Amino acid sequence: MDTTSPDPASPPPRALRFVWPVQLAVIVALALWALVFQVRLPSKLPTAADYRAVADVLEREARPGDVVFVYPWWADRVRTFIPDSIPVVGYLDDEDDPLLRHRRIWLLAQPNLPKSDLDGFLAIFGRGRTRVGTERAFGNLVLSLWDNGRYRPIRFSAPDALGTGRVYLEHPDGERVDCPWRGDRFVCPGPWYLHVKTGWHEVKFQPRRCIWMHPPGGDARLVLELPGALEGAKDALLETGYIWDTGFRHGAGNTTTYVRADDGAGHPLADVALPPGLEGMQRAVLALTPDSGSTLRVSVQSRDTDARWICVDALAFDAGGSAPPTSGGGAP
Amino acid sequence: MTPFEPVREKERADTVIAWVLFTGAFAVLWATQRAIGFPRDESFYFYAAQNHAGWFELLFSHPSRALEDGSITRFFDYNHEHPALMKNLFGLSWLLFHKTLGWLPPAAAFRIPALLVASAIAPMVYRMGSAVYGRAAGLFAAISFFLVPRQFFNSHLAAFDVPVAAAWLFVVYAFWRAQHHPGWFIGCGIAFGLGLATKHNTFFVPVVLAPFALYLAWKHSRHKPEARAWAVRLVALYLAVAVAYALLFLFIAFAPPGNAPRIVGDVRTDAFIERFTLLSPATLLYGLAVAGTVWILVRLRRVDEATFRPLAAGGAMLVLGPPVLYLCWPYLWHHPVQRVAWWINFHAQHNHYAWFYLGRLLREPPFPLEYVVAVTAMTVPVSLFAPMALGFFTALGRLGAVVLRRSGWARAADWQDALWVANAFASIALISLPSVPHFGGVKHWFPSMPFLGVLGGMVIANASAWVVERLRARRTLTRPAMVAWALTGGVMALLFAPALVASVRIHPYGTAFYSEVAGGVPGGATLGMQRQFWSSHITGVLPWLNENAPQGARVWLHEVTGLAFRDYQENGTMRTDLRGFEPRGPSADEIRAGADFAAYQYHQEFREHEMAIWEAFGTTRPETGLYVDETPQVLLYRNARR
Repeated sequence: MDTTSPDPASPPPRALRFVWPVQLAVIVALALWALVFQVRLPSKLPTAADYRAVADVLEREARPGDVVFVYPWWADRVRTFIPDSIPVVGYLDDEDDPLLRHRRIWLLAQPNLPKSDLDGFLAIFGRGRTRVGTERAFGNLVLSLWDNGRYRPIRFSAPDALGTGRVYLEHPDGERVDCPWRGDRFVCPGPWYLHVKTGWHEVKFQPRRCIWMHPPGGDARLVLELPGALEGAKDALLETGYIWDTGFRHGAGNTTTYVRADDGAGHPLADVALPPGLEGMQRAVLALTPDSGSTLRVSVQSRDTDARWICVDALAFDAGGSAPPTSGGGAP
Repeated sequence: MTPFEPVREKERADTVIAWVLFTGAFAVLWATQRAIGFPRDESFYFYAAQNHAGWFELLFSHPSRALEDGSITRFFDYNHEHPALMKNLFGLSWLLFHKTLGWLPPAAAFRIPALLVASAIAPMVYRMGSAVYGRAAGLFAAISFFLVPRQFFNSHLAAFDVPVAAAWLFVVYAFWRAQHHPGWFIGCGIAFGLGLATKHNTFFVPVVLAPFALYLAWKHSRHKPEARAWAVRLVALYLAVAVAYALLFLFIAFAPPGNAPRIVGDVRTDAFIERFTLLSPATLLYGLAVAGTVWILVRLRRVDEATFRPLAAGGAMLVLGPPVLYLCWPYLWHHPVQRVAWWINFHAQHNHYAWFYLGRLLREPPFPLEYVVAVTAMTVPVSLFAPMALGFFTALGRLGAVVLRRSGWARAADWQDALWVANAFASIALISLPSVPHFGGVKHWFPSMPFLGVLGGMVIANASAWVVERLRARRTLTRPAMVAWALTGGVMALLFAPALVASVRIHPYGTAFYSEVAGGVPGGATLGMQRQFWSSHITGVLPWLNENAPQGARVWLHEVTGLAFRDYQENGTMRTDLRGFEPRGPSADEIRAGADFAAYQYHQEFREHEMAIWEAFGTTRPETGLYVDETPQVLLYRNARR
C-alpha cells in the first residue's frame, strides 16, 4: 500500500507546529458559532400573532393613500394579513424609492433578521422623511409611521386616467389610424401587442402600475394623447422603461425605443431613448413653459418590434411639495 | 486502535461500519422522501423512466420486436439528451414496486434506485477516508455528505446529479483500489462505463485520473527499463490516437457541406453529426486504441505488475467504458456513433437560464469566476465547510511542500492526497468556467463534495490526534484509545450539530437553504440569492389548495410541469378533481380566463408572471404562501374576479 503514516515521522518546522491545533480551534469556534446561530434563528422570526397585531394597527390607523414599506425588501409576508386596500411595497434596491404618491409610509421592519442593517437602510430611506410618533414592536416586527416629505400632490396620473385619452398609430406620412377604447384598453389594428392599457408590470424587479405601450415598428409611432393632463400643473414627470427581461435583450433584432412627450401642439417636453440592454425606469422631468398646452402626448417608436415591451408612467403635479426627483427609484 | 490510524486493509469492523452507513443513509432518505416535491427535471425523468419500463415490458414479452430500432426509438427518444442507466433503473423499480406488486406509489418506486445509489456514497467515501487518514476521517466524510441540506435534498430525487457524484466517486474509488488489488482495474473500467451511462460529467474523470496513472507508472517503472518502455508505448499510442481524432474532427468540421446545412460552432450541425457513422474512421480509431491498449497491457503485466496497475486502470476505462455505456443505453444500439455525437453536441451548446446571484440576474456568460466557490461557501453549513476548506488547502500546502522539497510537515504528502485534491477541485473548476451554464445551482458540482468531505475528515483526524498526542506526552492518559474516540466523537458531534439542526428545520425545502455565512435563508434573500430550485416547493401550498379549492377548480402551478401536476395527483399529494392550467406567457388576460388559483414560484426572473397574476385576479394579496424562515417561496393567489 502506498500510504504513509498520518503521524509526524519527524518534528515539523517550528512555524508549522501549530497548524493542527489552530485548525482545530478554528473549526470548533465556527461550529459553536454556527450552533448558536441555528438555535437562535427561530427566535428572530415573527409569528403569525405578531403579523395579526400589526394588521390590527394598520386596519385601525391607516388612511387612504398610505403605503406599507417592508424592510428587508423581500420580507412581505404581511401581504397575507392585511387588506388589499393597503398597498405593500418591497423590491430589490427599493430604499431610495420616493413613493411620490403616498403622503404617509408605514415602515414594517425586521431588524433582528440576519444580515439586517436597519440603520444603513434608514440612512437612505429617511432622507426627506420624518418619523411620526414612536415605533411599535410586535415580537420581531417593528412598525413605524413616517411622514413622506417626498410626496407630491398629484394633479394628473396617466395610468389612472387612461380612459380619458385617445390613442392612434401615426405613420411617417402623417396618416393616423385610430385605436378605439374597449372598456379597459385601447386596441389598435395589428398584432396582439398593439394596445394601450394600464396594468401591473415588472421593471427591473420593481412592480409598477403603468401603461403598456408597444411600438408598432419601423418609423410609425404609437401615440397616447391625454387632454387636460397638464392643465394647471406646476411640473410633470415622465417615467418609462422596458418591462421584464425585454430590457436585457440585446440581440440584433432589438433596437432602441424612443419615447417622446410633447404638449399636443408639437412642442417637445421630453425625449427618452431606451437602447437595448438598458434596464430600469428612466425618468425625465417635463420642460413645461407658460406656453405649454394642456394636452400631454406620449409616443413610442422603435424600428424593430422584437421584445420592446414598454411601460410608461406620467404624472402632473400641483404646486407645492418638492421638485420631482431626477434620480432614485420609481413611484408606484 | 485509535480513530486516527489508517485502516490499510479493510477490517471486519470497517465492513460493519460501511454497511451501517449504507443502510442508515438509505433508511433516512427513505423515511424523508415522501415530503419532497417534484422539481421540473424529475417530472421529465419520471416520464422517461415510464417509457423505458414500457420497453422492458416489450423486451420480456416480444424480445425480437423490442430490439428493432423503431421500438427502441419509440421508448427511448424522449429525453435522449441524457443517457439511460438511471432511467432504466427508475423504470424497472416502478415496474416492480408499483405496477406489478402495487406496494408503493409511483414516485417512491421511481426513487428507490436513486436512494440506493446515493446511499452507496457513504460506504465508498468512508472506505477511502478511513484507509488513508483513519476511521474518524472516513466517518466525517460519509456523514457530512448527507448533512449538507442541498445534497440531502437532491439525494432523494430520481435524477442524475447525486447518482453522477456517486459514479464519479466509484470510478475514483475503483482506480484507487486498483493500485492495491489486482482485479480492480476492471472495476475501474466498468465504473467509468456506468458513470458515462449516468451523466456526461463522467467524460471529465479520465482527465483527472490520467496524470495519476502516468505518475504512478513512471514512479513504479523507475529502474525497470522494459516496463518503462511499454508504458511509453502506451502513452505514444494514446497520443497518436488523440492527434488522429483531432485531425478527424477538423476534417469533419471544415469539410465541404454537401447538400446538408452546416454551421459548426453554432446551431446547425446536422451535417457534422451526419458524418459520424458506425463504419467510420472514428470507430476505426477507437478499435485501434482498444486493440493497442490490450496488447500493450498484456505485455506490460508480464514485465511488471506495479507499473501495470495504474495504466491498466486507465486503459480499462478506454476499453470497457464505451461498451458499458452502449449496453446500458439501447438508444445507441443501432446508431451508436451518430447518437453519441448528437448527445455531446447537445451539451456543448446547452441553453443558459437565468439565475439570481448577489442581487444580479445571471442570464448569459461570462459568469462570475468566483460563483461556484462563493455559492458553496454560502450553501454548505459552515461547520462542515470549514474543515473541508482547511483540508483542501492543507493537502494542497503539503503537496506544495513536497514539490518544493520542504518535507517535514506532518507527513510527506503522497499521491492519494493529490487524488482527493484533484477530484475535489475538478468539478468546481469546471463549472467555474465563465462560459459554463450556471443555472443548476449547486448540483452540478456535487462530484467534488465527497472528496472535500475526505479532506475535511483529514483535518478532524489530524487535529484530534494532535490533542491526544499532547495529552499522551504529559502522561495524563490512562486509556488513550478511548480518549481519542471520545475526543473525536465530541468534535464531530459538535460539527454535525448545527448542520443537523439546519437540515431538520429546512426539510423538505432543501434547495432554499443558506448557511450561517450567508445569514441563513433570510440572509440569503437579503444578499439577493436564488430562493429555490425549480418548483418542488409547491408542496408547501398544496394542502391549502386541497382543503380550500372548489371542486374542479382550475389551478396554475407556476413552473410546475404538466407531468409534475399529474404526478402530484397520482401520488395522492393533490386532489384529482383539480384541473391544471398553463398560460403561454405572463398574459393577464389568459390567466384571468383560465385559472381560479395561481401559485407563483418566487424566482426573481419571473416577477412579471406575478404581476400578471395581480392584474388578472385584481388583487395583490396572496391567499396564503410558503414562507421559509420568512422568505417568500411560493405565493398562492385566488382569482378575485370570479
